[in-house]
Amino acid sequence: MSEPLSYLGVPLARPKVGFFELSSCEGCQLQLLNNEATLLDFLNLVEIVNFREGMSERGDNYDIAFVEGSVTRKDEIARLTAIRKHAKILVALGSCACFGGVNQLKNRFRDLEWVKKEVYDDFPIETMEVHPLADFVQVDLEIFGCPIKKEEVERIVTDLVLGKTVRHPEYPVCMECKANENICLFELGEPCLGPITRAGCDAWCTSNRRGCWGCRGPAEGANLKQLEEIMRTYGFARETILDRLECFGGFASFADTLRPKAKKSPVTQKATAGRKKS
Amino acid sequence: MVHTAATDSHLLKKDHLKGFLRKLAKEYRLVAPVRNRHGDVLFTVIDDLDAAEIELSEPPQNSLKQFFLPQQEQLSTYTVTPEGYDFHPVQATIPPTIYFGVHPCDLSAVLYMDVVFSRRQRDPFYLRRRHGSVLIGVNCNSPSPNCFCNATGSGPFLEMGSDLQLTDLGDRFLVETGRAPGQALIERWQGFFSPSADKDRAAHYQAFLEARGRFSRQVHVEQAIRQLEADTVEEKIWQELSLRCQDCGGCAYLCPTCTCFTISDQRLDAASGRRLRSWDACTFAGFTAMAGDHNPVQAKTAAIRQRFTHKLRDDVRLNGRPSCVGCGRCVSICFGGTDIVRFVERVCQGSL
Amino acid sequence: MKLSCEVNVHHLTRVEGHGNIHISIKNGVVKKAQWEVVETPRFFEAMLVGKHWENAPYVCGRICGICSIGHTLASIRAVENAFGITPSTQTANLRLLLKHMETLQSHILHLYFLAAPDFLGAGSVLPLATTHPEVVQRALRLKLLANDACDIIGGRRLHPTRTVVGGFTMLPEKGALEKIRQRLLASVPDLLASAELFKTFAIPDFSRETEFVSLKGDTGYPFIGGGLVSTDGVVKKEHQYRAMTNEYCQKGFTSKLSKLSRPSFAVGALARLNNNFTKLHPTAREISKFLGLVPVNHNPYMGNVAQLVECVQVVLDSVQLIDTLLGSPWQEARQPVKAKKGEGVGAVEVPRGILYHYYKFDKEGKVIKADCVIPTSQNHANILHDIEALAGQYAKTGKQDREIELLAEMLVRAYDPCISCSVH
Repeated sequence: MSEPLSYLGVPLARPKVGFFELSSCEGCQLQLLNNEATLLDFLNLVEIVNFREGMSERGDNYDIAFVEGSVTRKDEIARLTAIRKHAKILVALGSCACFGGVNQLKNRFRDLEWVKKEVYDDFPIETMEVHPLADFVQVDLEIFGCPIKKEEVERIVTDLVLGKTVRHPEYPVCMECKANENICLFELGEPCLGPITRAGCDAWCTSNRRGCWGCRGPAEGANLKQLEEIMRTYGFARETILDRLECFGGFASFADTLRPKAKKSPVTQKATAGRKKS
Repeated sequence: MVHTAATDSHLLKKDHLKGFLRKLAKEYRLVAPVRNRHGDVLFTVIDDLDAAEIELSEPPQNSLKQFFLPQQEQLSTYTVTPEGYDFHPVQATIPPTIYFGVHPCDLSAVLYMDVVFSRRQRDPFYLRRRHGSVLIGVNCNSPSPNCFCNATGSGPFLEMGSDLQLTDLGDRFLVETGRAPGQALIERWQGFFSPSADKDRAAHYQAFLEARGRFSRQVHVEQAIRQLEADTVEEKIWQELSLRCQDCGGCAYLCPTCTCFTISDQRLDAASGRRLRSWDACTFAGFTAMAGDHNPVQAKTAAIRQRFTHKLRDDVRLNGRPSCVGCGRCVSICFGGTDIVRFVERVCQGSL
Repeated sequence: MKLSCEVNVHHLTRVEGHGNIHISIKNGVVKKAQWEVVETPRFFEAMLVGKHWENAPYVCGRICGICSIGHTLASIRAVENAFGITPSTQTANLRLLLKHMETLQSHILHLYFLAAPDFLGAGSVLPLATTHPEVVQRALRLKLLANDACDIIGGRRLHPTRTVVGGFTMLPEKGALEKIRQRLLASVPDLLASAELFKTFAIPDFSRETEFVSLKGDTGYPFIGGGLVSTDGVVKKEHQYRAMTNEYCQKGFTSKLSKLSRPSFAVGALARLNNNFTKLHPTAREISKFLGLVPVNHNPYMGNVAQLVECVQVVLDSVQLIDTLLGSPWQEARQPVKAKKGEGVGAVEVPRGILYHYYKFDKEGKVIKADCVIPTSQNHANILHDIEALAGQYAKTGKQDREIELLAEMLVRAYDPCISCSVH
């Protein structure tokens, strides 16, 4: 590795970091390896002591723990608690860790036994209602997104290392989309949660003409009620809006208010839709 | 308003336009409204005049703002030293540019920006782009459905402010000379121009009258200005509109006269960084945020109030005219329906 | 001589997901040889029930963080088959190109970041940055190329944004495709250097007769859709995937397992190559021979070599695909979709083997039943049997615990398992 770094004349300590995953696709960790251009610089900024997906050596002497995924089985609570004990700073990495992510879609079904049976038939399998990390441990910092945006992670980690306050954008994706000079997707007939979703992704999906599904959760002061009305004036069905609102869990409480009104399909009736309040 | 063309006017045959522009393009960077492959008309820097489809009858989707005040502009770089920060201003040479085919609304907006960026403190970054630019306007014979420049006093025909001002008279343009650089262009390439006759000036006046009759919207901006000045706009109107605003900033981005910006320092590595200036908008929640997380403008209702009060009351007090130029861009971008036309209409309804 | 051995690997590193290895040898007799999958299930098949069809590719792409493109494409194919939609030639070509670039990205990630450290005596790629900088730079270069191409075609390298039922939301700029074409051609020396590097690696001497299952190529080396085939002579159609996978549950695995003619079978690069060797690009075939890989090869460690051969295959085929795409003007990016009652299967060869998505829809296009059969879940039983055979082969050789542990770890890694994917 290259020479020691300093900032404003003060030598920088390379914090020891560990990466961990609970129930997830491990894509957020992979995003870090995916940043070929700056990977080596980034690795120089920190000392990785635990990264199961990438290396054999393991250590428990980390300052910062990045935890990806949500809690979906009891043993994960114990793992998470142990990680929290070791870490000075615990970072929830990605939407699964922050809100439950796509995993929490199974919380739509009140009957967990039905869920198990649907996939494993009568084979005994253990699972539980899906929870974000913050339901069990103190989370010091959240990094939103499915997937996380690697540039954002690098900025956040750099800020952490330099001891600067980490701030998330308060404005919605819609603003970044406008700044990218995209045609409004409503005009193209595509439903979009850009107006209420927290920015920071640089309008990743909408710049590719794909409507926003709200993976980064609500912006500060997101105007949800009004968006629902606006989307209905554009002719989008309540169910279409609900599909997006409930996909990643960031809008769970608002999705709950919409769901009872959504038309029930015969299939979901046997396992009544509607998330239990946790 | 007298819209008879000045006697100091010339004729430019449409057949000669390309040739004239070709001459200009040799000495200037040329920017004009061009239809792109998706069918959109945008002010574009023209590299190949023969390949560019210049479109004068349809209003461009962007204004000239981005050319004088870019969405993001690097003001300086800095290095971090043990003593602190060293700033190094960015040197940029902006080529002399001709902006051709500028509609009266957008031209009025540039004149407004000139005032904003040079009234008290001269803004070197704006002025180095504005300096050496030549504005060739074109009057609007047929306003678009969202246009209301007749209500803001900035169109459809422009009386002053441009370097040259064109009016489409069918097979020819009537060319009025405005500021000195325009006069110089006519003299330099006088072969392209012929003197105008009385009948041409009559045709010009006729075109103006017809254009005035073609507005599909009657937006009573004057009345909204009066109510704002008298402070009689009902509270519920602010609330109603604010609730619908999604804070996307689209109106401010597209608005040719929204000039608010924010300055941020972006670290490049541990030892250096750059200082950027980016567009901002008064509707954004963080616009008035201060150190210590204090924000004097808390309610969403205040942000919307700030936007319209600034455009329609404060600028009238300061400059004698509103800074809304009636281009209608915010009407088309706002999916929530909180644009200035909606506001004016609500105010007028409220006073019924 | 040492005749006993205890190997207990908890949460094997440098693989995707959570798996354990246990080997116990006493006096030269294998007492225990286990491959355990302890990953938490996420219940994707249940999540989708009652959801509108457009959720399927969007949600199911998120089964996997490495082969999200493959999952998305398999899901889209299943929906299109259910609705009777045939993608345009342009869409099919773009999807295959996108698929190729994911294959390249995933194979390079596995070969250099996950597998190579074992052969170079390192714990991870990090120390290699100092000891073998040219190797790491080459890997980063190839991965960057593949990832850039995925960004350009699919909108995003992970969880693609532009891929939808009916086509794409947006088409790439032709100039950008042309640049990718040039970079692909320029990457050939890097691939040859990779072949030279892997030629120097000591591939463990181990072999166990195995049934290999993959798509069957009619015209070219197969990646998206078509017939199903096994080296034991089983031939099935795409919609008969259940007869090819025969899923069952077993203690010690939170994932399902599969069997066919024998108690287990293998899928993946080695299976594809064993079944479709003659369909390889001549250059890829030559490199395969150069690395000592000719069908039918029963050494699972050769899975690494097969992946390298496939890197050459997809790079050369991508150049041809781009030539075809650049040769004609862009057509419509996306065709309209009309939902109808029915069921559909999408079979796609993702980096780790053949992947099936199946959906049944009601007349409004809502999911009644979903089923995803993942390559790694099809491999689990075979990995288990391989570990048993490996333990047996080395039970009386007096090897140190750590040596046997490493061999077992390398064996599992050679399958490039995607465990969270297999449990989903």
